[in-house]
Amino acid sequence: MQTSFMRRKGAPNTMLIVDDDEMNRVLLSMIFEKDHPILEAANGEEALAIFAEHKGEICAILLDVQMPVMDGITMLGKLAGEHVPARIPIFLITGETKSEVIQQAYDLGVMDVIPKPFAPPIVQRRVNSVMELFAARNHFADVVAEQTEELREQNQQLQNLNMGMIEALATATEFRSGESGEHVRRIHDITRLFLEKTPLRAQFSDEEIRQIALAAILHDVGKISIPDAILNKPGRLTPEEFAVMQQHTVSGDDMLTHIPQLKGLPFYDYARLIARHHHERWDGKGYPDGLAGDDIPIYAQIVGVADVYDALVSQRVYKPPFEHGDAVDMIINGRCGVFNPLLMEYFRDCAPAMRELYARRAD
Amino acid sequence: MDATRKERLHAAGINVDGALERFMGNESMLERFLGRFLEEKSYAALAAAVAADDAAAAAAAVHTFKSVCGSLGCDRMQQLALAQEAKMRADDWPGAKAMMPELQEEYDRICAALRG
Repeated sequence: MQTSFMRRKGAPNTMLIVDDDEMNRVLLSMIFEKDHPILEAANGEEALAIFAEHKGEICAILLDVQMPVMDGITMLGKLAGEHVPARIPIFLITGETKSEVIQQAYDLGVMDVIPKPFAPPIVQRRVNSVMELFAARNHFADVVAEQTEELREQNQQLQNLNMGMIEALATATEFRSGESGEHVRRIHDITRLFLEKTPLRAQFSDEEIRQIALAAILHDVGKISIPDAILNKPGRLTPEEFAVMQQHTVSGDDMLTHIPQLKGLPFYDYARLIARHHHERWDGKGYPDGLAGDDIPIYAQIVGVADVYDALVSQRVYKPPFEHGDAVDMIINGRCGVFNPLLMEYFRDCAPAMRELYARRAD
Repeated sequence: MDATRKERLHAAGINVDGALERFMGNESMLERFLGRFLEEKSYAALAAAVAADDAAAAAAAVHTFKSVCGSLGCDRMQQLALAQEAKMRADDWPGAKAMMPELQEEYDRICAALRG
C-alpha cells in the first residue's frame, strides 16, 4: 500500500507508538514501518521520555488509553500543556468505549480516535490523511514565514535607503558650511536622548521618537539656499546678511514641501516643523515666525537646544569650543535666547548623558 | 498455516482470516502471538483478580484481555470479555464474577485448538 502524502525534506518522519501490549505495538508497527522509522513505548511515562529525546523527529503519536504507570489521557494532558497536539497529530488507538473519555481526548487535542481491534488499511488511511493535513499546514506556515521575512527585509532595505538619502542631504548641507556630517549625527542623538531619557518619553511612541530624531538631522537643510559668501563668511554678518541667513528656516520648510517623495514618509511633518521653527525662542524673540511658548512644537524646541549646545561645544572659525559645564550654564541662563523652563530642567537632568555622548563620539 | 489447522481454529471460534488481515498477511507473526495466547498474561491476571475478589485489578485485566482477543480474531472470547467488562463497569461485581467459568471454558477450548 502506498502512502499518498508528500513529505518535505527534513520534516519529522518518526512515528511514536505507545501501547502497553506488545502485540498492539507490533500490529501498528507493521502498518507504518515501511514509510516511517518507529519508536515504541509501553506507557505514558516512557513515551514522554522518548518524546523529549526525539522531539524534532516525531511526525505522529499513536496512543493507547489504558496503560500501567501513566495512562494515555494523563500523557495527553501533559503534551497538551506544551501545545504539542497543535504541531504533531496524536491518534487514540483504543479499546476504550466510554464516551466521556473519548470526549476528553478530543478536548485535549487528539485528531482521531480509532477503535481496537483495527483494520490496517483503515488505520493507515485515517492516520495518513491527518498527517497529510499537518504536513500541508506546516508547509504553508513555512512559506508564509519565509515570505514575511522577505517582505520585512525589503522593507528594511527601503527604510535604510530612505535614511541614507536623508542623511546624505543633511550631510551635503553641513559640508557646504564647512562642517563634517558629525553635527547632524549629534543633533540626531541629542534629540533622541531628550525624548527617551526625560518625562517627554510618555508623550511619544518608540516609532515617533525614531522619526523625530531622523527629522532633526534635516533641521538646517535650508542652508543649501544660502549664498556661500554669507554662509561661510569668516567675520560678523551685517544685519542684511543676517536676515538672509535667517531665511534658511523658511527655505528648509519650503524645500521639504517640494520633494513629493518625502510627503509620504512618517517623519515629513516633523521635519518641516523642525526646519522652520528650530530658531524660535520661548519669549517669542526667535525667528522666522516669532512663535512663543507652547506654540513652538516641542520637538522644534528640543532641536533648538541641541543645536545651540552643539554649536557652543564645537570649535568654530570665530570661536574656540566651550567646556561642557559652561555651555550648559550659558543655555540655562538664557545667554543664547530663552528656552522653555521645563525643557531646561530636563536639559540639566540629561546634560551628563549628553556629555558622555560627545566623549564617546570623540573616541 | 495449513488448511486443517485453519479449520480447527475456525471451529474453536477464531476468525483466522480477520486476524490475518490485521497482521497484514504476516502468518508467522500471527502464529507467534497465537502461541503467546496459551499463557496470556492478561487472562492469568484476570483469573487471579477474580479469585482474589480484586475488582479494580480485574477491570484492568479484562480490558487488556478483550483487546488481545479482538486482535487475534478470538471473536467469541472477545464478546464474553466485553460482556464481563460491561458488568464490572456497571458495578455488577457478582454478575461479572459469575461469568468466570464461562470465560474459562472458552479460553480452554481455544488453547486446546491452538495446541492442536
